[in-house]
Amino acid sequence: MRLTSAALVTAIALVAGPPPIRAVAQQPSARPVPPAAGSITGVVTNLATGEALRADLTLDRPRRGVRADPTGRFTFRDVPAGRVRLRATSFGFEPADSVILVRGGEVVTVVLRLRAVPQALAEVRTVAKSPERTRFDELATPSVVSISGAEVRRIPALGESDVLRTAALLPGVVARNDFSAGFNVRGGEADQNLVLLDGIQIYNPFHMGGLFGTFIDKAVSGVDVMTGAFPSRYGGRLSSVLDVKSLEETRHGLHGTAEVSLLSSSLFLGGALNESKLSWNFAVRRTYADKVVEWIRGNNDFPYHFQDAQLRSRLALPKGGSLGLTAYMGKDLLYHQDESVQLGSDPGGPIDITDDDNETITFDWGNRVVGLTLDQPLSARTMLSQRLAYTRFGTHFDLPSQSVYLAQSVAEVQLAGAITHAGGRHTLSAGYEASSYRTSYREQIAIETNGDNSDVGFPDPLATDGDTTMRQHPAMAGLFAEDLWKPNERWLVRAGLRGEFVSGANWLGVSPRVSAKYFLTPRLAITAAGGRYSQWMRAMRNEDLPLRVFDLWMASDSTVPVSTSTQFSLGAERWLAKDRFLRVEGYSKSYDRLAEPASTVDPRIRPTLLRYYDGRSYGADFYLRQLDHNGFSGWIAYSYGVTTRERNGVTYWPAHDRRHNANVVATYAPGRSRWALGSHLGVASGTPYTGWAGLMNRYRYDPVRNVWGPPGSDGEEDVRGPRNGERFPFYWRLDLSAERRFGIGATTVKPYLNLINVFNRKNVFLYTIDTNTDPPQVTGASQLPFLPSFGLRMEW
Amino acid sequence: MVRPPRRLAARVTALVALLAASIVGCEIEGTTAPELEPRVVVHAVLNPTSGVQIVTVERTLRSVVRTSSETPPYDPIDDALVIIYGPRGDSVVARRATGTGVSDGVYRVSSITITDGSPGAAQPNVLRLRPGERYRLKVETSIGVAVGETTIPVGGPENGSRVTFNLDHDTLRVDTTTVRNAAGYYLRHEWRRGVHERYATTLDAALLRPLSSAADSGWSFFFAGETIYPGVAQRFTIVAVDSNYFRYYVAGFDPFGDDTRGNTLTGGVGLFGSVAPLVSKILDLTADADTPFEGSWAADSAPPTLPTAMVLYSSPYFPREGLGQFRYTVSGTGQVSGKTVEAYGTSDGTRMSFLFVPVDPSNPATSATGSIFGADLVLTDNSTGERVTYRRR
Repeated sequence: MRLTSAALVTAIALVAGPPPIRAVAQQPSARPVPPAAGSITGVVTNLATGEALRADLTLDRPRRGVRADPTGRFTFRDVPAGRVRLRATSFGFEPADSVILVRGGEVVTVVLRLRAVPQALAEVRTVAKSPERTRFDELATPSVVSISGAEVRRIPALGESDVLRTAALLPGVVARNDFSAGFNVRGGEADQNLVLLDGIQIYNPFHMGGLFGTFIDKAVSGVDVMTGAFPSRYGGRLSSVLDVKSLEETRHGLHGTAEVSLLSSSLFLGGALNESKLSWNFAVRRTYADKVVEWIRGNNDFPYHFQDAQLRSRLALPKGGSLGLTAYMGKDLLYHQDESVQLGSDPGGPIDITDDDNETITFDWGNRVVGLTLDQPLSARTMLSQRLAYTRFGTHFDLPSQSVYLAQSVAEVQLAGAITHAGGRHTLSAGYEASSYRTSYREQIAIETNGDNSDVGFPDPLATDGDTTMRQHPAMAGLFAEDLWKPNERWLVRAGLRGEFVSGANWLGVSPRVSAKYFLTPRLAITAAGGRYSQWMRAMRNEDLPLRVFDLWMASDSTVPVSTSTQFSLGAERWLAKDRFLRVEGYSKSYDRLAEPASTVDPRIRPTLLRYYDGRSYGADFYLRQLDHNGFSGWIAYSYGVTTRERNGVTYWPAHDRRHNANVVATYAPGRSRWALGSHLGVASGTPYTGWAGLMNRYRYDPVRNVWGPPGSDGEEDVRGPRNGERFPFYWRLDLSAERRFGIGATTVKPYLNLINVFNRKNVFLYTIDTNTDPPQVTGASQLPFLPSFGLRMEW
Repeated sequence: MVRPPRRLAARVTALVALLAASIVGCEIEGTTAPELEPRVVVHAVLNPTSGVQIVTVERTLRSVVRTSSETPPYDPIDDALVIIYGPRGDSVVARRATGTGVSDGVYRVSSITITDGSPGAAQPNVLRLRPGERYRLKVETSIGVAVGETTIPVGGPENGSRVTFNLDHDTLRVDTTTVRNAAGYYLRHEWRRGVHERYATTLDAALLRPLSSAADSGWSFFFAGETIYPGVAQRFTIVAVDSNYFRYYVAGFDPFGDDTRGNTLTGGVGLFGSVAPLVSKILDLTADADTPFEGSWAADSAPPTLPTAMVLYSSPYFPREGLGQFRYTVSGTGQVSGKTVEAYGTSDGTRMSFLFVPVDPSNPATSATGSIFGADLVLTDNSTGERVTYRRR
């Protein structure tokens, strides 16, 4: 074959590429060439229940695989344009195949619904990665733990399953006791945890003093817990991030779950419209112990209940975008009215004599949250997110018989956004946050005497003004930027910077956050991380109080400084199998300018009387995780931690300094079985408390005559030992749960049984002492005793 | 270990704890409290108006069980070294007090008060007290060393005069603009039948003034309003106190607090505070004579149980409560067989009832009823039935 000279020149030009072109003004631009790749994103759910499935997804061209996250979501990037076959498999479900047309530069959104198969299936071998493995391979962030909503529901719980109580079973997380609201992460105070619902902050995520979380478990798809070194996109807290994700109902029609337990009833409804472009779900819950007691005993001896409502909706937008709406409203109400007892009347006078204790107490608190989130791919590699959210927590206490009225609220309006671009070896992200806060505190207390002195029972005598109003209106502006850099197959480096300005405190801070992961082998990596963290919204909380109902929040201002923390961690993670890994992490944290009220029980807020202290904590977390394997999953978490606080040169252990804390969680729910079983064993060393060191005589003193009364003339007083110098005994508790599944038509019925503290271990909650005997007697009150509970869940 | 919470501050916690307990309801069997190392308990208040300062030193106790009904538990320390350090490098050692009626564990030191800034002329081991300056107390014992510090409030000269005070017209105030280093004020009202006390952080309101209604609470001695009677002498006292003193006596109960209630000592527990008396004034309380029963009355005979002469007053809203179906409270003083009595009575406008209380508490009180007849007041002893007519003087 002979080539002509023209053909030869053309062939050389094609191989060598286009010749250099000199830019010429006014030369018409070349027509843009469409990108050769697009993205596929979507969600996998159970066709029958709508629950998210962590299915394995594979593409045939090129051959790639991922595992859906706990919310059922997945993404393939850089998929060559053209038709590809997407296959979803999950154990216990029929595989689903879908042929998808991928256009260059666009994002295709798909919804895959898998049908459960009742008969035994051959084992499905998969090479797809779990989200945990994906995180291990592709992210440098340490200390992240994920739990799916389905897994939460199998873990034994009081009454009904609880996301937040489950989070307290993870490594590095310590719950003070079975009751108290809040948990402590790696030595931090309980108000240092950022609790998010679909990215929106919840200021008080607990009911009934911490026995229950605010989230209705049916409406939750999963939770990510970051116990340290969290990325620069998160701000405003020192210790942890707990990110709860709402469930999204993607089935057509009306589906739901109704549940009745000993404590509460709940209803979850949801469905999808318009070819799954619009999904929605709504859940409500109310406890009814108050009604039961009233019905049985005819009085209001248990005058308390709480109620929740949670809404989630998601609208698919063109080009792969979505608009999400999240709303939550919850309220605890304690209303008590004593029976009026007429003791008699003065026959000659107009005034009836009634029982002095006749009084009414109204005490309520609750959250209101609403937020809109827009996620829009700008290209196959670039994603834009915007969020507008409002969150409020308020409480009010009214005791009219003693002229006591207290009300406090914190509200935040936040506008936030981020843009992420996944390049070759760099994934860059940048964003902003702008928050406007309002805090309000109203106190009206008539300080009356009882004929002896002005003691109204408040511990801090210098805060005696009984009519106080405080309002704060600070704002926060924050910017962050981060780069996840993968220079080669062995290194992953995440470097971020966060800048924040808090107007009320006139505080400007810059927080660098860095983490690096080095792969010794493809299954073993070492991670080092460090960062600086700040917090300007703080709870007026003295950690020594063992039972905390909720927190009152105040912002930093010109008198109350911003708290900061510096953290370092070093750890290793090894994958023992494709669904099992072991993680060990050590950490060290220092804290500056933490604050607490001097009193544990005085509800009044006095910023000028706050006590400031510093502190540090260090320790190590051990986490052996078994992901779902033939229906078996669970973890062993052990944490060793040492936490100290220092004020005025005195070092002490804070009340949450639990040295050893271990939790073993195992759940078993094979797809072919109608049974789901769960167990939890918690073992921990005791937390500190301030002990009793005897009694002292108090004396009356006459300052006019300079005369002292006799010993005990002003009573006797307990003498306290060193702050938190004693420790409660060893703690352990075994919980079990079982659930049986029945099918009645299209409805699945699941009766369940929870056994809390099976061995009725009497873990000490607090001690009381009786000094009217010699020798004095110490009596303990226990935490949760053996508590069986049962319920029924119906799903359709 | 804690005692159960008490009073208002703990109500919220107690109520929620009650709810939790209603779920839990589990008590762990009691055990004997562990043996404890005793700690030093110290009580001392520097008082510039006194020439002697007193320090008590004892050990903590293990229980409140008394060895006898009269003797409270008390474990004094007699071999303590008690030193008070002045602000200018001076120090004195308090000596153990002896003598009849003096308890063990009591230490004393003489003092002078210097307000002019001079070095002060004093014998060795006499404490020089300078209001506005800081003092340190150190108590060394075999079981530990307790240390405390106080800054003596500056209160100005004490106002201790006795004056007549008309409850219908007069107003009593105290000027606190010159007071320094006071965390609060101790207010005391003394009358024949008792004492009322309280603490306040400010004294912006008048101490005592005419009232617009029984509910008028904008005055500092409101807490004693039920016992402020015209016609009798009563003492009103105001003392500026330092933060240690204020905290010791006013702090409420914190069941989970990290320190002993009101304690400001280190190494021990108790009080080392200071005071500055501002006012200690006896007021001869009067009122306008604008009702038929007010004024001076003299008996037309010499009754053995009822007053031969008396002066009665009535003032709206003094005392503040306790009238029942009566419209007026009437009070004053009189003489019964040469002895002074105080009269406390009520009236509906015509009928009256009285209780005559001798100043000497060993004498019995007498009650009487009566009414106004024309210009006369006629009373009948409820015990003897004796009827006495009083005429205005």
